[in-house]
Amino acid sequence: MSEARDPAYNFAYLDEQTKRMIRRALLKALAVPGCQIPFAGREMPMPYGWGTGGVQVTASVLKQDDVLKVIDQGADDTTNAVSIRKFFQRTAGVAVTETTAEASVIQTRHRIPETPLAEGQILVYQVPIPEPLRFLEPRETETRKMHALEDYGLMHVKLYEDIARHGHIATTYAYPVRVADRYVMDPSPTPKFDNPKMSDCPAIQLFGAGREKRIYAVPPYTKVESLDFEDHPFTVQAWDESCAFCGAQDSFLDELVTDDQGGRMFVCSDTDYCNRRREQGFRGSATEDAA
Amino acid sequence: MTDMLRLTGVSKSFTLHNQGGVRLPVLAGAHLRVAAGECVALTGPSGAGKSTLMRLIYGNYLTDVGSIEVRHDGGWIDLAGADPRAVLAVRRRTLGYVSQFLRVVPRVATRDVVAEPRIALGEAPADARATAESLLARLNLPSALWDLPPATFSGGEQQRVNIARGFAHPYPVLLLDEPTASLDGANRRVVLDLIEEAKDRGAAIVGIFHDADARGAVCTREYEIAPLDRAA
Amino acid sequence: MNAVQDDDAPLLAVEGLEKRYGRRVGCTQVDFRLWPGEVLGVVGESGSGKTTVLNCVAGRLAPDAGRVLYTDRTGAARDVHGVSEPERRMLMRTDWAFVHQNARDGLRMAVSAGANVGEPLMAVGARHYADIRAAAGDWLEKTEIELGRIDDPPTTFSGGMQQRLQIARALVAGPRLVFMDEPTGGLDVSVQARLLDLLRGLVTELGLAAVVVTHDLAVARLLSHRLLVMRQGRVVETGLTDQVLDDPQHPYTQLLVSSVLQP
Repeated sequence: MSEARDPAYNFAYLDEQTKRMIRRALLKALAVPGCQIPFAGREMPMPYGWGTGGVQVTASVLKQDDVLKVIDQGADDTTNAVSIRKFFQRTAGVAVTETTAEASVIQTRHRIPETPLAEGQILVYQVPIPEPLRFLEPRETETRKMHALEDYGLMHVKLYEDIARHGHIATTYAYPVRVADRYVMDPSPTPKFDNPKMSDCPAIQLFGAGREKRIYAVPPYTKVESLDFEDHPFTVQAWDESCAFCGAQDSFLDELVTDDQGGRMFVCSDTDYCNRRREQGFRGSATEDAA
Repeated sequence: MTDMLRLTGVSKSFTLHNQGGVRLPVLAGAHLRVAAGECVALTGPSGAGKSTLMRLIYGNYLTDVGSIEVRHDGGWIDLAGADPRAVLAVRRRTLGYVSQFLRVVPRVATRDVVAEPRIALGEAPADARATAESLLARLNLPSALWDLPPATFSGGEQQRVNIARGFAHPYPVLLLDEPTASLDGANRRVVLDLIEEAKDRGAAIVGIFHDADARGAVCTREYEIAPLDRAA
Repeated sequence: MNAVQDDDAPLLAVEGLEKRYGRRVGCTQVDFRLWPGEVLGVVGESGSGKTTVLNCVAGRLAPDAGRVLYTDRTGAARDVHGVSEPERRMLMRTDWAFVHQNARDGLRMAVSAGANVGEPLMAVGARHYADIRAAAGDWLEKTEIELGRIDDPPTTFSGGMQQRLQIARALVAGPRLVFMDEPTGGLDVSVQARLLDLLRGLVTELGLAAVVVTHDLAVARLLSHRLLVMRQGRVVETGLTDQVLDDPQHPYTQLLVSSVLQP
């Protein structure tokens, strides 16, 4: 359901020239999958670290007839998701939804929806640090050269160190990937559980880093593979438990502490996915009645 | 008998630029032919230029004038004015030099010092070391010393290592500077035997022997070097 | 394997190399060639231009005039400063190695010894952890670093060990040509001796070609087959190492040689 938008703002807050500038950056990013493209990020009405990059990307691709979904750690009802959704309701007047399948634009912080995406959908990621090599090579001049020259030995050094120190690759989120056999990319702090969803995805994936002023993208049906070693292949997290609400065994589970005696339960991090399953009649150990 | 070494009109002087440019002529017009199987002794008073001539032949000193031709790979090569790489190649395969003092490389075991010329020519290290060991044994160097670097050895022991290294590879042309110095009777005998064996296989040898008996025993000919007047 | 081949094409040909810093001459009219298996020493005092020459030849500094031609593994001659930067960096990664005077300049101090030695392998596509670790272990042994230190960062190593680690990292990917800038400078004498011996052994065993810059004539005598003597940016003398040091012709070379203290 769309509300009337506040006429004090241009559609989706940004002026048209800014949107064009960002769209140019997005087109460039789609043309060179995984490559970080600088853009002239604008001052947004939320501080850095609160999704300004994602918001600017969403603002640039949003059309009046779009249906917007905003999630934060998989949930539609956390503070940030609510704030950003309200922001776009007010400045763009677009229809909003919590149902993944109904959305045409999905802005997300730190998760990819469990429901498989379809052609025509756009997934916008909020990215804090776009440079996957940053922690080992602090110089921007050097990392730019490394990407340009495909000089990625350092990336595997990080993984080597993990195995040497912990016996296995210890990175569990923001797990580096190689896009279209060329650029190494930080998928944003999504859990490595979500990495396989990025590959060969029918939707357009756009990444915005507001503080660092970088945009990158993965066009539909692009190969995205997680870095690993031949003898230490990439694996995703698995749980012994299933979702306490809907009984799902294949989704990313959040661990909730229920009391101060060590009580805990595991529930789907993707609230929409969990709700859809319960609508279909699936039940987990915690629920007793239908929704 | 085939000539293996030909010196023609070899002259050498040293110019000390930092001592007012003083020029010290040492050799003038040296002329020498050495054939296979010969051992020519360089004779002359101390300081006449015997070691200098040897170093000129080896390429350690640069010749001012003249040619120093060595039979190498079936042809002749003039070491005077030759490319450094060519000199290195000649030294590796054809021209051996046993200097008066062993220049010691730190930390390399005696056995490896002796085996090195053969390994440099592509021989398997194990075989080269076996040859080295038999030579060292022949020169009465105790096997306990073979693993040690020669830096701490006595003068006589170092000299024997030097000789073993010089004879490890059968050089067609050999330069020996005081090979029997610092050696006792038995070891001197071994060195003279080695020289005889080298002559028998057709090597051309140039030697400096302070010891007249040793000289007489192995040398077929003498080449006298007279000291030049050293101009101030 | 370590015999110098006659009549081969040179691995490196430097022609008319010149580099100026404003009006000051860094180096000028430098010509030399280097064949596989040869070690060329470049000696001179501070300000002689030897480090400038090394950096130009190693592709790290663009000269103002002259050419550096490198013959790659296919036999093709590449103009080191004429090729694109990606190509040059590729050469620097695969065919060449650079050993810095200060080990910290050639190492990643925050990363383990094993990762330091493994990185060049990973940079050229090695993707098997156990193999990479085993190769790193081999090279730690070759450079006489205790295998148990493989997971320690170089910050915990002594200066000599750091330098040996740098050498292991430089040589692990099998370069054909090694550039060394005062490889033993700044180290204690006993440590120097051990390091020199190691370098000498490795160069011979691996048949490496090398250009070694040093102000220490003893190092030059031990490591190099041929010498370039430099003064004020120019090459004043060149030849076989033992000949240049035992029978120096140029006044400056004679001065250098006679100035060396003999303990």
